[in-house]
Amino acid sequence: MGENEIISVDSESWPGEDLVRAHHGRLRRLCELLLGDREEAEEIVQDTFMKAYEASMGPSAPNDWSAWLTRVAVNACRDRRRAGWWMRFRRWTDRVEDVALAASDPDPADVAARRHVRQQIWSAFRGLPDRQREVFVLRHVEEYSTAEVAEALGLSSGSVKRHLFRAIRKLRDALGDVQ
Amino acid sequence: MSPCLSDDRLTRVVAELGTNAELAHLATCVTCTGRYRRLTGEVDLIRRVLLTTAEPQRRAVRSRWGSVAAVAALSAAGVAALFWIEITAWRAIQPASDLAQAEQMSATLADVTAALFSVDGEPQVALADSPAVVALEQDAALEQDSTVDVARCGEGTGQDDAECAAVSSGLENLENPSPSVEGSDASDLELQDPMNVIEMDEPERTVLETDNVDLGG
Repeated sequence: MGENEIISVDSESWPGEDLVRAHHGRLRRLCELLLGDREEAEEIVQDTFMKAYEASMGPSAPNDWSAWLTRVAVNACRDRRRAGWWMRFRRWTDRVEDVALAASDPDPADVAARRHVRQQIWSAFRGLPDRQREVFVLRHVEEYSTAEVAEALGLSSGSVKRHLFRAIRKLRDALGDVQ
Repeated sequence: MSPCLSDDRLTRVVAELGTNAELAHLATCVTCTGRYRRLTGEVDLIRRVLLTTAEPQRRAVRSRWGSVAAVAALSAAGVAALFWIEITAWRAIQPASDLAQAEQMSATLADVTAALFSVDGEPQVALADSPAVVALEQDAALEQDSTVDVARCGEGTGQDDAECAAVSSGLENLENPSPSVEGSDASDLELQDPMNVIEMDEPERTVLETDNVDLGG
C-alpha cells in the first residue's frame, strides 16, 4: 500500500486531519519526553498516525482515539528504547556538560540557580526507569487520571500508584539536593 | 512520637497511596497541610520544567568510565572468540592428528613386539625372507608356468619343438612315475626342485610323485 494511496483514501471511520491536528503536538511532546530525541519522537508520531489509519480500516476501530493514540505511542517509544541499545549506551556514558537555556530573568544569580534547578530536574527525570517515567509523564504532564494511565500502559491502578510514588520521590530527592 | 506525616508518607498521599488515617490527619494538621502544598508545588515545578524548557544539550564527551567499559567489553569479546576457536576449530582438527599418531604408534609397537617376542625365534619380517618360504613360493610359480606351457604346446601356436618335447616328456614322467622312488621319504621329496626335473629330463621325477605320497595329514 503506497503513501499516496493512503492519503487519497477517504473513510468514514478515519477522523483524518482533525485527529492529527488535535493530537500531533501532544504526542510529539510525550514521545520526546519519553525518548529525549526530537527526531525519533517525530518518527514515532508519524508511525502512530499510520497505525491509526490502519486501525480505522480494520473491523474494530477504537472509540477513544486519544487513549488509543497514547497507548500506541508509548508502546512504540518503549520498543524504540529496547532496540536502540547503542544510543542508550552512548547516553549513559555521556555527561551533561552544558545547559543552553534562554533566560529572561536579569538577575545572574537567579538565572544560575534556575539553570541549575532545571538541569537537576532534567537529569533526574532522565535517570528514572522507563516505566516510572511513563507513569509520571502521563499522570502529571499529560494530566491523565490514574485509571487512564493504567489503561494506556496496561497496568493495574495500584501498580501505577506505586510507580508514581517512586518517581516523585526520586525527583524530589534531586530537587532537595539543589535546595 | 509526632503524629505528623513524614516526607515519604506525604509523597504516598500525592501518589494516591495514602491511607484513610493519613488523609484524616492531613485534613486537620496545618503543618502537614503546608508541607503537602509545598510538595505538590515541587511536582508542579517539575511538570512546568519538563513542559516549558528544552532539555539540556548533551555534549558528546565520553566519560572515562565509558571508555573503560568499552575496552572491557572488547576484551571480553576477544577472550570469548579465543575460547570459541579453541573449542570448535582447534578441536575439530586435533582428533585427526591424534588418530594418525595413534596408528603410527601402534605400528611401531607391533614391529617392536614382533622383533622382541616372536614365538618362532624370528620376527615375521625375517621369516618372510627365509629360504623355506622362498622355495615354496618358487614352487607355486613354476607349477603355474608349466601349466601354461602345456596349454600352448597343445594349441600348436608355433612354439619351439624342443620346449614342447621337454614339456611332454615331463608330463609323461608325471603319468608314469618311476617305481624306484616309491619307498623314499616324503620329507625328502618335498625339498626337490621341480624345475630341475623338467629341464634336465632325468628319470628321478621324484618330486612330481609327491601327489601320490601320503604325507599323513
